[in-house]
Formats: sequence, structure tokens, C-alpha cells
Amino acid sequence: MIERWNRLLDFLRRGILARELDEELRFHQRQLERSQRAAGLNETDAAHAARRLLGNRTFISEEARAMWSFAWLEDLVHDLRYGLRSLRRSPAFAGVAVLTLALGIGANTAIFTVVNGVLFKALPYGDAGRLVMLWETTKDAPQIFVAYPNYLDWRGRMQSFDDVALYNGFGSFNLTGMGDAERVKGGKATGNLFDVLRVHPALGRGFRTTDDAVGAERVAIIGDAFWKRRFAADSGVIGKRMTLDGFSYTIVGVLPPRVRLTEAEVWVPIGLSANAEQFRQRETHPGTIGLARLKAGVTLERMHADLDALYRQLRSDYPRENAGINASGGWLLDQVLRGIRPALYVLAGAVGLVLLIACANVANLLLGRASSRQREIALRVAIGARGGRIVRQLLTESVLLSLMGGALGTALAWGGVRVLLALRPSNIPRLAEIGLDASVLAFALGISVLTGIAFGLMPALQSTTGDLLASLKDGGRGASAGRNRLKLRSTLMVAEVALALVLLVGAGLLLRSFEKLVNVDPGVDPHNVTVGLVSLPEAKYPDPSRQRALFTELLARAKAIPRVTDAALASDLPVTSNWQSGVTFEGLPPVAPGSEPLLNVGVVSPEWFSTMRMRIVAGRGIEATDVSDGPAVMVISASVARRFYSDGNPVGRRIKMGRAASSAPWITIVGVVSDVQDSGPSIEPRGTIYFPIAQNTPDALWLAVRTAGPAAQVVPRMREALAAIDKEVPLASVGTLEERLDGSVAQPKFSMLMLGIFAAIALVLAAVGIYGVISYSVAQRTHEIGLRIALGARRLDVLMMVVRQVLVITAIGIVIGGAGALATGSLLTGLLFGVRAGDPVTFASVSIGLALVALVAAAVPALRAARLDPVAALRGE
Amino acid sequence: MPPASFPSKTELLRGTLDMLVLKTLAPGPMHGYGIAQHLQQVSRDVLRVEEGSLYPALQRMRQKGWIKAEWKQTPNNQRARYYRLTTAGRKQLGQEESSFAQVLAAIALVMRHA
Repeated sequence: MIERWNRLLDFLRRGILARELDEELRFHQRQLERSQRAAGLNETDAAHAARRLLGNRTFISEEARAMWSFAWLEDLVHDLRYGLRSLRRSPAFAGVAVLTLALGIGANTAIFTVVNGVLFKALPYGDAGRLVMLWETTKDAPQIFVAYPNYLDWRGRMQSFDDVALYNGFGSFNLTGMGDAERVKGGKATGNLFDVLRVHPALGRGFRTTDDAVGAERVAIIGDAFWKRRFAADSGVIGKRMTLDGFSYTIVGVLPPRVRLTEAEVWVPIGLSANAEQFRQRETHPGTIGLARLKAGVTLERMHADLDALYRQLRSDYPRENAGINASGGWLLDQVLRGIRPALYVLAGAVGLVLLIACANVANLLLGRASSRQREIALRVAIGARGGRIVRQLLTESVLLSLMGGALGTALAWGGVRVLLALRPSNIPRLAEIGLDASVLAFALGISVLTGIAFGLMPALQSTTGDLLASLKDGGRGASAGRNRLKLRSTLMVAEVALALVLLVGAGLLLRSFEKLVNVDPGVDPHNVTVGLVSLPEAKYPDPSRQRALFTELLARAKAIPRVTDAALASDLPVTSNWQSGVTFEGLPPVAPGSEPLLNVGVVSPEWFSTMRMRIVAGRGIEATDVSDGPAVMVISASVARRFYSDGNPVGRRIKMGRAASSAPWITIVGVVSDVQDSGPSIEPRGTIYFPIAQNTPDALWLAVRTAGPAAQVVPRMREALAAIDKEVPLASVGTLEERLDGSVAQPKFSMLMLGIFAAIALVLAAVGIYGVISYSVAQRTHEIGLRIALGARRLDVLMMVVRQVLVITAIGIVIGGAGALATGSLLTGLLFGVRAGDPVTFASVSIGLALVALVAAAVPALRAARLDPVAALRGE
Repeated sequence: MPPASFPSKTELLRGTLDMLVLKTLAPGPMHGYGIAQHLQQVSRDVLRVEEGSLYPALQRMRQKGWIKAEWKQTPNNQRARYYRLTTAGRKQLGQEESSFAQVLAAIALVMRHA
């Protein structure tokens, strides 16, 4: 061990050691001379004798030098130097190869960075693999929120759970008393939520069970970002107070940076509100999600069996509230990554294909280069280099290439990830935390070395086999070796075309489905509409009449803003609907309790339909005459009319919220309004019923204003209008309606853009490959072509000969790639909308496009062949 | 009688030269020339170590960690490379001495009885 280490040290300072040994030997020599002179010899004789006695100094040096050396390391250094020199001699080759590899390795590193950040580090919780998310179900909806009283029954009665928490992470609070009023995203959670997650606050403490009760002292835990933003990361924040929705809370803890269960920045115990109607009642499902840690060894199946048994009991204990209700759950990780995992897998597959194409391409370049190096290699073999030594030399060169490509590629990936982050696809979790780290760099290094071996091995082996003597004799043109190599290169080109086709088909399919997505009529006209959310704190606006008064005045002031043509209020924007309810139709056959159809519920001001440019299909819209003490009315969407009143006109019929047995009043339908894509463009509208604000006032409404022309200065005016009424109520989530609509297609856009970029890279690489192969083939056949022309072949014939060769190779590649694309198409199914994976239009257009690109890439060498001067070509022999 | 030349290195068991050098360094540091002189004098000119064997052996023993080299001034003010035993070298010397003693005794036995 020590010896090997010393050896390495000696190797590193072998220059110094050699000088020292030399000095040592000279000292020895001088001493010998002295003793000889002392013995009576004269100067010259003494020196002579000393030299003789000392023997061969070179021999000693050689002997010692052997001890300071590492044969393989010196070979490697030698190979690297040799490789660098030979790459420097052909900068064009090196440039193209490094760039090709940089694209391939860079794309893989970028996607690995994302996968590493999103998939592998998705959950920053202790033993996150045992966490499950829980929800309730009804016949008409596979996922509804959990009724708080039902959750309380889980505790202690579910054998599968170590512990179970409940949270509502999608709410918000009006934060006041600290500078500007602000609407902060906030959540309510049971006291054990952070214990179940095994998250320890970075500062202060977590919730205690005593915090989680009606009448307990109000405490809050804040998120890291909020702590930095509002408290400038002040470590003395614990114990400070802040006012949320009019109530004062003491801050008791700060969460660590990576913990972001939802968007919530502030958490308060849910038990404080346990007496609120929405939590007290078993038949309401108020935005609450269960989160449990399964006991060791408990499977999801066990848990489901447990839940089924418990809910049989809960249905028989509370037949009215729990009719038709069940519960289900799944691993938290699967839930968090549900939307993004298929897209990331497809992208990872895509960059894999890009890398394969890059490898094929560089292998192709190396084969082309090998023909010009055949003589050099043959010469080295002739003077005694072993085959293995030469393969190692060539592999060192290719790994050197791929390391340079990898370095450049990592830089590209770094920039690429910045671009990805800028695109910021809203529903990719934890994108902001993605960055280059040690594992990414290790990945890039590993993939570079593997790539270098992958594309270098075949050309290296190929160049040491075959008739070396022949290549020495005929000066490297080796007709037969050349033919073999051409066959190999054509095969590689077929592979490149096939791989490129698979990617292009995938990109084409995503492009077409994205086009269909954005062309889905949203049912509203989003141009020049600006929106903002107004939420009234419960403490200050406890009753509907006070709320109504503010909203009425706000609407009047908003309409008075210059250039505003329309202003309206609604509980939900046309892209998202957050409130669903089961309903009962008067006069329709009764359904089993719990199987009532679930419809979206919206509350709107009279101006809403006209502001959004929705059409009244039958009857009338909501009108100013629908006042709080007038007859209760509703307007239904066209899809509700289609689904439930196919027999005739719904106007005048009645609907009631909840079950047939519920005590809710029957409400008369006064009109039918056109549909809105309220669950995103790819989902059929569920159907919506609209109530007038006057008869059903919520505590939060969206203000929407439509302006004549672009809405440049309208936002400050909207804020002023609200502040003029109440300075403590903020206007939150301000933006244009177009941004909101775009947001709902952000992820498909992201997938399409990424796959499009990779397909474009693949196309360019394939084109470069085709150009290389055809150029090589033309160069190989210079003599033959010259002969043909000399014998009377027309230039057009020569051109067609080359074109035919390109088309044959491309056609084979397209057939193989087409089969591959069909076989892998099912992987894309989840990402497609309105297009089948086997879409013939996409396949045909992509194939034709690829063939055209192949022809363009081959045009230069083909024309070169056609313009060949037969005399020069033949003399070149 | 001309001094018997030390056997050329192919015939010499490497370990023997190592042992002699270690023994020579046991009292204190010494440079390469000094080691050669010492071996020759103590053995009354019987053992003449060739420089071609001595210096590679010193390099090898230094790599093994038995001896350490440092540049010093000789008594008459010349720069020379002195070698001294390390703890590992002292241990090695002990081992070689005892096994040498055993081999010597064994050879003596064989010679007496053969």
C-alpha cells in the first residue's frame, strides 16, 4: 500500500528524482576520484578509474527510472497526447464530432437534471415511500374532499395507519397589520401533519395537539419563502404576531426550505375552525385531503380493505350524510408526479434516441477518418504495435472526443435548464429547485465515457482487422476495406434515419395535439380581459349583506374606470371550477343516494355572461332583478340542458342542491347559457349551474374587467377602486384571462416544445450523417464515376445514381423507423389529445419531410459527382 | 589476493544486499558512497558492492518506506544525499537478521553433517 503510494508520488516527481540521482552519482564519482588520488594516481588516471568503477551511469538511471514509472499511466498520457495532436490536425472533424456529442450529451444531461430534481427528490420528507394521500369517492366523482367528521373517525379506527393527518392547502388569508395588505396562500392542517411528514421546523416548533382545537390560542407556522419575503429571514420571528383574516396569530415555527406540500405559505391548525359549518357537517367535503403514514409492512391493498370496512360502518352509522361515500388513496409520490411522470419518461426516452443518433453520427465520422488513417495504422502495426495497443489508442481518442463533447454538453445543459426554468411549466413540481449538482456531473461524466466507448469501439476494431498489408500497398484507398466500411456506414445511416423518424413522429403527434388543444373554443372571449381575486375577511365581513354591499360598490367603481367596457364578478374563472355539488332534478327518475350527478356551481353577477361573451341559448341570463328577497333562480349551461333535458325545454323546470331527501329549496331554471371549457381544454365540460350573487353571496369573488384595446393601465385602477372602499382588502392573483387560459395548456406546450427541440436536433444530426456518408461514397467511387462519364454517361444519370442511393437508404430507415414509431406510439397516448398515436397524416408528412431533408443533405456531394471532371478523376489513380 | 568481487546482481539474493544496507544504516545516517565504503571495509574488501546494484536498491527501499533520504552537508562541506532508517526499516532489519541467523545455522548444520 505504502509502496504503491510512494511509487505514484515518485512518478509524479520523477523529473526531480532523476536530477537528484544524477547529483548523487556525481558526488559518488568525486569521492571515488579523491580516494584514487589519495592512493597515488594522477588526475586523468584517477578520473578514468572512477568512471570505470562507477560503471554505467545511464544503466543505473534506467534501472531507477523503471521504478518511478507506471506503464499504463505513461501509455495513457502518451495516447492522450497523441490523440490531441491528431485531433488538432483535423479540426473540422474534431469540431463536428465534439459539437454532435455536445448536443447528445447535453440533451441527456439536461433531462437527467430535471428527472433527478423532479422524480428522485420529489418528496423532502422522512421515509416518504410510506406516505399515502387519501380522499373520499362518490359514484359520480372518483376523488372528492374528505368530510372533517369522517376524518375524525379514521383516527384510531384505521389499523393500517401509523398516524393520519388532514389538510386543506388551497386556501388563502388576508394578511394585514404588516405593511401592505396581502392575500397569502394558506392552509389549515391537523396538528400532526408535520409529524406524519416527519418534517422538523427549521425554527421554533411544530403544531401540538393542544393547538388543534376550538378556542385554543391561535398559532401559525410559516413557510421558508414567506419568512424570507416578509420577515427578511429574521431569526427572531418566533413569537411575533400577524393578523390573518382579522384574527391575530402567534408565529411558532418556520418550515425548512424544501418543504412545500402545496402552495400554502402560512399554516394554521384546522381544529380552530372545527365549529365552522363546513367542517362540522358530515355532508360537506371542504377542500381537505388526508395524509397518512402506513404501518411497516402494510400494503395499499390492506389499506383499501381497511378503508372499505370502515366506510361500510360509517355509511350505516350516518346513512343520510355518508350515502354513496367511500374512501380511497394512493402513494403520495404517485399523486405528486401523476401529471408529469409520463412526459418525463417520454423526454428521457427521446434524449436517449438523440444520443444514439449522435453516437451513430460520430461513429460514421470516425469510419470516414479511419480510411484516411488506414495507412498510419498499418504502418504502426508493421513496426510492431500490437492490435490491442492500437484499439486502446483509438478508444482513447474517442473517449477524449466524448469528454470534450461532454464538457461542452454540460455547459449547454446548464444553459438549457435555465431556459427550461424560464418556461416554468406550472404543474411540474419542484422545478425551481432543479440545478446542476454532483450527481448530475457524475452522470455527465459517466455518460461521456460510455458514449466514447460506444461509438469508438466499432471503428477501432474495424480499423485493426482486414488486410493491413493491402492498405499499405495501395496507399490507403483499400478498395475492399472501403467497401466494407461503406456498408457499415450505410447501416449506421439507416439507423440514424430510423431513430430520427421515431422522434419526429413523436414531436409531430404532440404538435398536432397541441394545435388541437389551443384551438378548442374556450367558450369565452379572453382578449383584453383582466381579472383579480377579492376575498373578504370573515372577521370584518361576517354577513352576506355587508359582503354584497362591498361587491356592489366595487362593481360600480370598476365600470367607471376609463376604457373599461364591461365589468363583472364571479366565483370561478372560466378555466377552473372549484366548487362542485351533487344535485337533484325535479321530475327526473330518482337516483340512489350518493349517485347524484355532480355539477360545477358558479355564482355570478348579472354582467358576467355578456362580459365573457357567452351566449344565452334559451330563456334569460342572471339579471339585476334577481335580488336577495326575490324568487330564487338559476341559469344552467348548455351541456346540463343536453345531458338532463333532452326531452324538452329546461326553462321553468326546477333543481335542488344535494339529495332528493335534502331540505334544500327547489330553484327554478330561468335560462340556458353556452358552455365553457371549465376543466381545461382537454376535458369535456362537466356542466355548470349559475346562481345570482344577490341570492348566494360568497366571501371571495373574481373581478373581471374588459377594456377597449390592450389593458395596460387597468390594474392600478382596479386596485385603487378596491382600496377606495377598504384598504385592508387586497386584490390578489391579478392577471389577464389569456394568461389563465394559456396556463391550462402549459404542460402540453412544455412537452411539445421539448420533444420538438430534440427532434430538430435529431434531424440536423441525421442530415449531417447522410451528408457524410454520401460524400464518402462519392469520394470512394470517384474513379468509377469518372470512368462512367468518360464512357458517355450523362451528368443527369450520375446525379440520379447518387439520388437513388440516398433514397434507398432513407426509405429503409423510414420503414424501420415507422415500425418503431408505431410500436412505441402507445407510450405517447397519455400525452395526446384529439390525435391517435398511429395518425397517418403525421406519419406521412414526417416521412416525406425526412426524405426531403435527406435529399438536401445529399445534394452537395451528388452535384459534386455530377460535375466530376473525368480526366482529373482518372488521372488521380 | 585480489578482492573478491561481490556477486553480480543476478546471482545475489536481493534481500541480502538490502539487509546489509539496513544494517549499515542502523547506527546512523550515511550517504551512498559511505555505505559502499563501509561494506567494503568491514568485510575486509571481501564484499564490493557495485554502484549499479546499490543505487537501485536504495531507490527500492525508499519506496518501500524502510529508509528516508535527505540532502545534508558532509563534514568537509559537500552536498550529499544521506539515508537513514525509518521505524519500518528497523523492523525489517530485525526480521531479516533473525531469518538470516536461522538460515546460517541451518547451513552450518548441513555442512557439518553432509
